[in-house]
Amino acid sequence: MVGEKKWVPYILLIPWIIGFLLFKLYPFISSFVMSLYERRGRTSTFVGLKNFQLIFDQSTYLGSEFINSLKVTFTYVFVTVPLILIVSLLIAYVLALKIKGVGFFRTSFYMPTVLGANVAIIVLWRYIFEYNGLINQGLKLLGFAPISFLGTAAGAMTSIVLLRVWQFGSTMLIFLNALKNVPETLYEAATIDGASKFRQFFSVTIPMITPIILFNGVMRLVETFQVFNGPVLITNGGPERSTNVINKLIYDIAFLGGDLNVGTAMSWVLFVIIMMFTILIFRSSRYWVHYQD
Amino acid sequence: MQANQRISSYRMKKKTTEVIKYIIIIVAAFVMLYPLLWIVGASFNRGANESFFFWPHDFTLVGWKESLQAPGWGSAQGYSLLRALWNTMQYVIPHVLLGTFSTLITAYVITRMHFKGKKLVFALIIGTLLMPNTIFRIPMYAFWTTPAISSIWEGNKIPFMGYLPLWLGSTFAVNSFSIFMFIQFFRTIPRDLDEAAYMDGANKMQVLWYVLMPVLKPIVITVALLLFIASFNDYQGPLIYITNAEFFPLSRVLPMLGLDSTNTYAHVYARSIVSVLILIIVFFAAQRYFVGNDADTAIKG
Repeated sequence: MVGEKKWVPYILLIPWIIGFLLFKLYPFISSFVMSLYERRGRTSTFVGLKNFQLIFDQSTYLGSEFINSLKVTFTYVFVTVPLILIVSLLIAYVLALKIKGVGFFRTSFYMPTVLGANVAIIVLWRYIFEYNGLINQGLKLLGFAPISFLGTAAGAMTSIVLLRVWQFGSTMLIFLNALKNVPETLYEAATIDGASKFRQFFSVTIPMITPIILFNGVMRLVETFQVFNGPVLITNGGPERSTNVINKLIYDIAFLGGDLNVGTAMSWVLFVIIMMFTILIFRSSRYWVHYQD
Repeated sequence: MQANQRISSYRMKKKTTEVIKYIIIIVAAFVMLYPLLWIVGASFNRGANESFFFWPHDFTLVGWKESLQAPGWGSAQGYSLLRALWNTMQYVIPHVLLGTFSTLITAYVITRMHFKGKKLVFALIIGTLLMPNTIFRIPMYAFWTTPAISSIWEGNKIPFMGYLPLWLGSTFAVNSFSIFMFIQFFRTIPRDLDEAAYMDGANKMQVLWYVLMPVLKPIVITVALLLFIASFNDYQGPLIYITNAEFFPLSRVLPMLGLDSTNTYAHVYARSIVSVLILIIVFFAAQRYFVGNDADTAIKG
């Protein structure tokens, strides 16, 4: 553009630059430095990787808690993320089939996403999963025996997984948009070739939206690895630490226990794990993601 | 004859798929919404609702009455819900306004201006989009709670100041996802629109406000709505920073108001519904402008 002053973009970027330096880069470096120190009273001493050794030492209390939280978090993530992707893709697929009242359904499916993350509703979720709560009454009606959701490890995990899967709205909307962009001609060609709807879904729909599956998958992965509200408010990490996810443990150690240094070490382990999975998914994407152009 | 049969079997098949898709969608909508309906029903029920059906079997209005009538709108166990709502707003209002504005400007610069280092800036935004918040939380907490800094905000009665650590970042466009959404949207707007305005002698800011703003309206409302939901529902942030009970937001007060001698299930349910009403109202007011999704044209191109 003619006559554009060169400094204008930089001036307008100043807020972002400050934000990046102060709220991202500084805490990023600082948390790593903090994880190498130990604090006793008012003095911090450099201890190298001692904090990391500590949290991976299963013979100590801290270590066993940390290893346990890793296992719990992995279970949560690898059950929740595929479920969210499958449910939201299925619903989005049906919604994309020219449904009457699509606006109503879209709003309905988005409602739990707005409300489900709210503390007031999460607290009530606990009542819904109580022994005499809604879910067990429903199971009874269908002739099943009631389940002690909050009293058993598997039940507690189920309740926090379902709370998250219930909020599939955002993922669904992204899929819905992607499905609308699949060219109609591809389906027509497939129909002429005699492919059934079922076959079309797997041979046309899925390959065409693999970039969006990748996007949704990575976003949900990063998010669910940091789950906090459900395990704190519904199960309080229990029973017997079975839902004591890593973010809750970090909260307990750093903010309740006051050991910020061990907390940062744990955060870094979480960060490295998330990065590893993200890189792994992106690396693998060349085998299963199809880009149109 | 055979052709007729084929056609009618084709029609039957089509009808079946038609029916199946409605069955799936209605059953799914029911499963999704029924817990919410059941919660509303339970707020009118004396005692626990020990039934699958949502209608109250022992009807009472006591929960709603006492939630709405008590001083300070449902003051319970020493906490005023009205005060808690105001406290939540001290976080939400600056977070939404500043967050939307700063990320809009940032996205505008990146998509519509030429400067050196643009690729780096974009890469950093995408990089931070994927970084877990957990990694930033502890050092920021250490920073905000050092005595010299905490004296600025902790317990500060000037509106919004008590929540400074929670919203200051949004002044500086820290929400990468909002920037990302704006960038995606800007890319769908033809540049001819800008060019025409430049011909008429408009500057960058005039183009943004007068030319692009009408087109941007849906994405601005969508980003604002998502920031609203995120801050209104934020539990961990206030849990860490807000230790003074006078400043407790709804998310801190509600979990403490459980069942006790005076609070029945009806009270707890009614209070919870009242506290999310604003969320529901804002959602319905904004949703007709809603771009349809989080990252509308997510990663197109």
